[in-house]
Amino acid sequence: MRRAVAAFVATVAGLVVLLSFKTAGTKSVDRPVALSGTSAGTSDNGTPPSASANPGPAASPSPSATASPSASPTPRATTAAPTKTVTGGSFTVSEGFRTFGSVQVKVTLVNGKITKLQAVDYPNRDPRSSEISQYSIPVLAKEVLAAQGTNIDVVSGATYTSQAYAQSVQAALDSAKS
Amino acid sequence: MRQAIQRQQIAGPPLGRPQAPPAGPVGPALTSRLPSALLAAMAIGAMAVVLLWWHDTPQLHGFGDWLTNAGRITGLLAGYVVVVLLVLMARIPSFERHVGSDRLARWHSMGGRYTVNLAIAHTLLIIWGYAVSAHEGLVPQTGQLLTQYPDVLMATASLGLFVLVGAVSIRAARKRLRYETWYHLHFYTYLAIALSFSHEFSTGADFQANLKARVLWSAMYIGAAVVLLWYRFVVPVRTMLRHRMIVESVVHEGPGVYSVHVRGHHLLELATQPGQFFRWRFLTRDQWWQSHPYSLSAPPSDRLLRFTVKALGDHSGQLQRVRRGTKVFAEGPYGALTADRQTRRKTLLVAGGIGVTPLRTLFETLPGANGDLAFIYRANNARDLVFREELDTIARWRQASVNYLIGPSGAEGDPFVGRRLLGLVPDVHERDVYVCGPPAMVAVATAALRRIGVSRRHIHTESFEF
Repeated sequence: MRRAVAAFVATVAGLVVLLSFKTAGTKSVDRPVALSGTSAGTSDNGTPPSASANPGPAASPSPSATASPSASPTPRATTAAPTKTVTGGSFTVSEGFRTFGSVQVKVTLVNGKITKLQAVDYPNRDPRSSEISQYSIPVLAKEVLAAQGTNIDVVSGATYTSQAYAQSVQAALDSAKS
Repeated sequence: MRQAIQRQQIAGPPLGRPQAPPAGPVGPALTSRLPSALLAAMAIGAMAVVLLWWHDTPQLHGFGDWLTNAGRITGLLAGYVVVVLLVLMARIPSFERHVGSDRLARWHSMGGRYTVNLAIAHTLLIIWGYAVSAHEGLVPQTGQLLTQYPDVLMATASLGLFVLVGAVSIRAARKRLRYETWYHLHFYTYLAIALSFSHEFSTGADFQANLKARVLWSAMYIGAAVVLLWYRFVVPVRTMLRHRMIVESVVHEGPGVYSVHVRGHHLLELATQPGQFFRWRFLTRDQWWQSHPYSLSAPPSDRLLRFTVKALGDHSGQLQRVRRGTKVFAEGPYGALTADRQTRRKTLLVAGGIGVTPLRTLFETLPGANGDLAFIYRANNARDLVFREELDTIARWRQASVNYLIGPSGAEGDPFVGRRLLGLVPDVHERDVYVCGPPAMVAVATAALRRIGVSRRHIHTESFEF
């Protein structure tokens, strides 16, 4: 009996120590580490983005964001249309070596401001993945709109989706600048 | 002709033959090191498994991640420990010889209980963790896991089998079951392991895309299977073909005590150490499927082995009816209660009841000069003393002492009361002490020895219960 208690306590303690060491200190994806993504506009794994067939969870842009272009159009912006739509690269969502799918985000910019995000691809091959996508991607979109960048919080329970999402958005923003 | 019991000894093993035992202890060598080395190897394996998880897992976020990953670690560990448990029971000769079958069985049963609990924890933690991450209830999440995740249904059946085997192995339940029932229920663990294996790869995050991990993990399982098949099947079959053992005679030794003499060929090639045992299986229609461990009660010769049994369980009761000429399938030799345990020149042997059998063999063969050996034989009743004549003969030949101590425990004849042992064997502190007998007697004797200051590493025991 004493041995059973010792084994239980040791196991729980070991688990807590291991998990604590693995727990993120900071909760934001400041600089998304390149997992296995490619640069903007290309798909790295041949999975065709299911944009047309499956519109997916798209963030509804906040009214204030859509209103912004008319508020103060930059005087010098004469060459290009103020609205620009860029699709970021496809980034794999993987936990360790396990791949759930990939995330690809279409970003709409109005005068350099992010106004709309649409996930054209996201993990949905198995029930758990699509469930995670269903709740995490709208949250991520809201976060990006609010932060106007990829300095966002990871959605709890959707760490890898969050990372891939931020990477795809960042790739889109990078290609929009160039 | 069903003349099973032969009262006169037809072909008793040679006694007191001029086979001078080597002088001085052989030294503990492997016997003292292998158990800790084996424990260390098991721990390193467990660490490697945790390392696999560590390597494959990025930072965790939130409670759901915590639960899921605790579930993954417990699952990985369960998958690993189960293999260790198989290897412990694979009857690998060096383990049997230097760790001891009783200790291996103890580790196996402790590890077994731990594994069942790990598997339960794994299941609950994964369900809970997935439910928390997906913001779902436990019940719908369980349904989803069962129906939509590959192989999880099979793994659930496997969990059920593990829990069943674990439950019947709990001491209280085991006492109510026949040994054979319990033993055969254990075979379901093979099915359980097979059922659980596929979900480890098809849903296990650590294996899905990690080919190296998959290869190593499979190699571990295949390796265990090969070792198991080899030592539990191929080697015994080879032993049978080479040594062609048959029952020579069954001899009545005392109330309910029978010696079985087994004739065979080239038996010295087995390199049996005095003190060891075989798992015996009699190839008759109703007994071939069960094997039982019995110690050799005499040093082996090239043509003859003798083991002695007290009719306790179903099987040992049937033994007295075994016919002459019955084919014998023997696995062994096993057991670590041998001269290897000796660390000193002088030795005390303490036997209780039928536990006398390996000690009787050691008494004849243990290294030691005149007067180095002492024998205490404890029984509740004078009728229960067997091999009295043989022991006296050996004692005369080796100029050793034998003390027969008879009486109920706690009474006058009980040497394990207070400090009585010190009066019987004044130089007990200079001796290695071998104790063999029923578990309760071994416990009492060990406590008595500890009480008079004999250190644990000089007490060598083997329990008969495994």
